[in-house]
Amino acid sequence: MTRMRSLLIAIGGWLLCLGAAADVALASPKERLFVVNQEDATITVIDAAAQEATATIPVAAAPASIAAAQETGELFVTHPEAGQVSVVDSAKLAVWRTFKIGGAPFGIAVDPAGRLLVTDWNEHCVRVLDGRSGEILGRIEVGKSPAHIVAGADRAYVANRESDSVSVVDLATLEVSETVAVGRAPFAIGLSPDEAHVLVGNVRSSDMSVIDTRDLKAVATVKTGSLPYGVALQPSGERVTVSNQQSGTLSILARDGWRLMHTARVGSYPEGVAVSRDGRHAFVANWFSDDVSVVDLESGRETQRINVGKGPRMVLLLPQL
Amino acid sequence: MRRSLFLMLFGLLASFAAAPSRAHGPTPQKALEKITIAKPPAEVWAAVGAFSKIDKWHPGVEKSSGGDNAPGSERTITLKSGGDLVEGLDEYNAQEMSFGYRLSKENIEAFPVSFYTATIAVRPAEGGSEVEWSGRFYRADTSNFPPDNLNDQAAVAAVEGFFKQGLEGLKAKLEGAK
Repeated sequence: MTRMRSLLIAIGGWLLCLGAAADVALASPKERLFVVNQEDATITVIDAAAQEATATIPVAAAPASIAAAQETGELFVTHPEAGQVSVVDSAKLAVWRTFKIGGAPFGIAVDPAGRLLVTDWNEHCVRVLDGRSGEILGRIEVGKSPAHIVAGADRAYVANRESDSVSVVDLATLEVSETVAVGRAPFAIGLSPDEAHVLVGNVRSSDMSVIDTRDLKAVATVKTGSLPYGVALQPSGERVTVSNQQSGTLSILARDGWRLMHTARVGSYPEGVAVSRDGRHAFVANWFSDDVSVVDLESGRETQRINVGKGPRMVLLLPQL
Repeated sequence: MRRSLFLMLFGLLASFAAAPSRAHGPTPQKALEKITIAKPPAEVWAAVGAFSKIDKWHPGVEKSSGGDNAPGSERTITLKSGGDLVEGLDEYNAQEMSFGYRLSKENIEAFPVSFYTATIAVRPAEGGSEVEWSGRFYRADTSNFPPDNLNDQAAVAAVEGFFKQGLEGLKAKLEGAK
């Protein structure tokens, strides 16, 4: 009986592998957008190709940021008010465990080793968690009120909102190797796919700092709209999108020369932004108007508005496993 | 005995160190107030659109002073209830009759909010105009255990109250004018 069952599991696993391989060969799998709604404590799931909401996942109170483990399809959602991280199964669309880590966890990233890097707004540190057990592996002191964080192959970059700087964390030693001065009140942070540039949205100076990762210096400051709160790049790295909360717009910039290509009018108080894998669309969470704007990056126009839960802040795109 | 005294002292010091984090916090709140005014939009905008002259129509503002309507300008408002707030103009769109501004210097004793951004807009509406005032803000004490006077509810009550009082004052002033 037991032997029979393990044989079945083995065959099932093999079929799954075949299925995954076929998917890659035939067509790219569907992409889904996960929208974190802080006010009504839900995640709205959107079919990115159809541009429509397909599910709602209830989570604990006041969720803020989201990151994914690409391999397992697990989603990690921070709750700064409750000192916890919810773990969401993106296949079952449900929370299946909670990591109670204390403090005020805000920004989150998953590193290549599957560890969670979680900023703490009030304790001015990054906690390092085992992505499977939730065990706290370490604590890294960074600047004041660290907001968002992004992880590359060997380093993570943290935007320190109250220190006007970016902390560079060496992922091998889990130590800050460098601190780079940027504009005023850096909040959102993005890493180009080639890892050559780190892009930081500075809320108070209404501009974007460009950090060259070779010498870890800010090499350009690009004017954005008012109160830039979200940064996302095309997977090709050619275009950078910045959501401007006070202006209610999305700036679309060319990485070549940092030229402003378009300014798209979106919803009210936009924040989180993500770009589809084909590079055609940006999805922007509009915190005040409780919806997501879809912006065509070629024409620079909003083409769709999708209703979501209340107070959407961050968004994440993930291919369906 | 001495040890417990020491522990108490230590606890007291630790609570001081942890106490009110006044940086802009992680969970924003929202407020939205609207009012219709039986006057043409241009007339309403003439009053609302003068960034540093809010004292001319807001009953809760004792006096205000500052720069013109260019982004980057600052105004200082003195509340009737006491205390000053310094605000900076971010966006000004005369054509669309709207502007956006933010709190530049907090004063949580006078107004229990650590940071806010707000937008005020005038639109044509049936019978005259509609004025919409929206804000995004953070409670005064952004730690996870704020006292009642510095929590989310206190912040929401303060901002909603300020918007509502202002819009009612604006309506009364403009509709009362002959």
